Amino acid sequence: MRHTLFFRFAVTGFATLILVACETTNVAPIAASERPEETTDEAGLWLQMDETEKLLKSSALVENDEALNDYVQAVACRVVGPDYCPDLRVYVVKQPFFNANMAPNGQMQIWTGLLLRAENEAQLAFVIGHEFAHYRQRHSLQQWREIKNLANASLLFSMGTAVAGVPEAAVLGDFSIAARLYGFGRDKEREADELGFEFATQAGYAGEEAAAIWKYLVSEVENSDLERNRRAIARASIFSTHPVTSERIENLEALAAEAAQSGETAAAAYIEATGPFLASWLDADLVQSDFGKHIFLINHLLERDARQGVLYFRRGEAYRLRREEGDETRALEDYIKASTFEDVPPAAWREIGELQRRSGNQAQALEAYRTYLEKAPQASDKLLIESYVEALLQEQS
Amino acid sequence: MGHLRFPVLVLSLLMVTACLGIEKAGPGVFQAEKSYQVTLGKSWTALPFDARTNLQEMTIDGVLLNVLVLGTDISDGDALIYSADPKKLVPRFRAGMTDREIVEFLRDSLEYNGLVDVKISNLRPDEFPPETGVRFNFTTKTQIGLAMKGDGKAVIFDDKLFFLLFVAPAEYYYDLHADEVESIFDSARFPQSASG
Repeated sequence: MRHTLFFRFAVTGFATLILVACETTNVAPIAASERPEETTDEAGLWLQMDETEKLLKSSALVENDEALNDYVQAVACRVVGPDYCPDLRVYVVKQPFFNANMAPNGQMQIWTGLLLRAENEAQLAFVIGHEFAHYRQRHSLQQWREIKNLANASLLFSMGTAVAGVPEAAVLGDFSIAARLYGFGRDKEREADELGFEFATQAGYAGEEAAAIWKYLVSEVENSDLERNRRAIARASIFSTHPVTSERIENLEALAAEAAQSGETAAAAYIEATGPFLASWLDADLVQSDFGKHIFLINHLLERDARQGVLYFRRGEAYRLRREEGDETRALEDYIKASTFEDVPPAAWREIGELQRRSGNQAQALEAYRTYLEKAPQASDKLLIESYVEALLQEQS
Repeated sequence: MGHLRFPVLVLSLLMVTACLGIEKAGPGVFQAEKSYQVTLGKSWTALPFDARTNLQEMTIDGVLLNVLVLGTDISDGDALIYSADPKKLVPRFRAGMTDREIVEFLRDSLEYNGLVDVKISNLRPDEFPPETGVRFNFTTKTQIGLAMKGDGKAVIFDDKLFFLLFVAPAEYYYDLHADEVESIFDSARFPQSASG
């Protein structure tokens, strides 16, 4: 009996200690130029992020082009305003996926796959606004404290189930606690969407573009070669980290309807800034080998972008590599179409040469190869193509 | 102390087991798995052949400092990146690829595997007896920013792809074994033409 009483007393005392250890997730937004006190858990988070930022700076994944970085940082400063601008460091990261993220210390990553898919500056501004909202609202700190609190709650629940003689039930607590944590994350994403919209529209950008980028993304993923990807875009569960995309679109459209003020898309400025990277970003995207998504993306770009020579060439490349029935003909048509535009890459003639050679059209192949060598005298495959020319000449003679 | 003997023995056995398959190779002729042969001028460490990807790695100073990859018997639809999911979208070899497309496939596989900005140079026809294949050089970076240099050689033989890739840090290690690698690449041939 004494033993049982002591055990209950100990459990109650321990549980009280755990509850006392819980920390509030209700924190005030961070002010401009504010830094956390050294003795706080937030300072610890910043310290860790400072270390990862050092590694990021020297990483080969960071795009170092000065003009592009200046442009993206300028858009960020316009969105967050002059007070917060010095607190943000935006890194363009060479990754072919649609993604951006924000660290609690002011380090923001914008991936090139996102820049490739955004249609205009307004869409980029909304993403930056969304990420900045995570920073300003201290979502990382809130999430960190929520994790710690829920870990404590999990421990408490496990003790309770042990005392009650059903320790196996502890797993149910873990399950619901994990679901609550993900739900907490989704709420923060909703808040970031709303605030991101507010920041971007206050900076003068068109509100309807916030939903437009998500609508495009849904359409692109619906064209993925992988059924799993196609299903995932419309599906959510209690363990999703973000709200389902259709819900985000609905909310953002409602916000745009309420705002009723018109803003600019700044499409021309965006295309000018990102134009030099279009070919290399598409090249990196094609390495992922999702031809359905990739071709959908190029078709979308072809509707709005003046860089038709590059785009027809890149679509030809996708058909050439996909190798489905009729793709060889489609590829040849696209290379030939690309060759009618001024911005066509010289490689279009090389590919015309390759396809004509495969079809047995020696004269056309020879002409295309020669045009390629003339337009790209320093090409890395010059010796190889010269050997093809030589072989064709020998066959002709 | 006696109670420690059993765990130590088990641990030792595990460590020895983990080393199984790592062999010394060269100097001399080295036969790639059911495939071409090369002549090694130095002593290399050959890691176990990976039957899932048909790749075998060899190194002199450690795979992070120099690695020679021997790729053999790559068939239509095969990938150089292993995945338990056969539907995973990765660069795949396709029968009928031209020499330039093969180099493009190797480049894409390297990038998919995490190397950054793989830039190919100096593509040229090269003998891979009894066939003529393709040879090239490349530069790249690891994700943490270390500059690397490499060489490649590939050929289609009986509708299958066979290749060699060498990669090492551009600073010091690439040049350290450059002559040896050049000589290995030059020596690559299929056994039936070994005398040729």
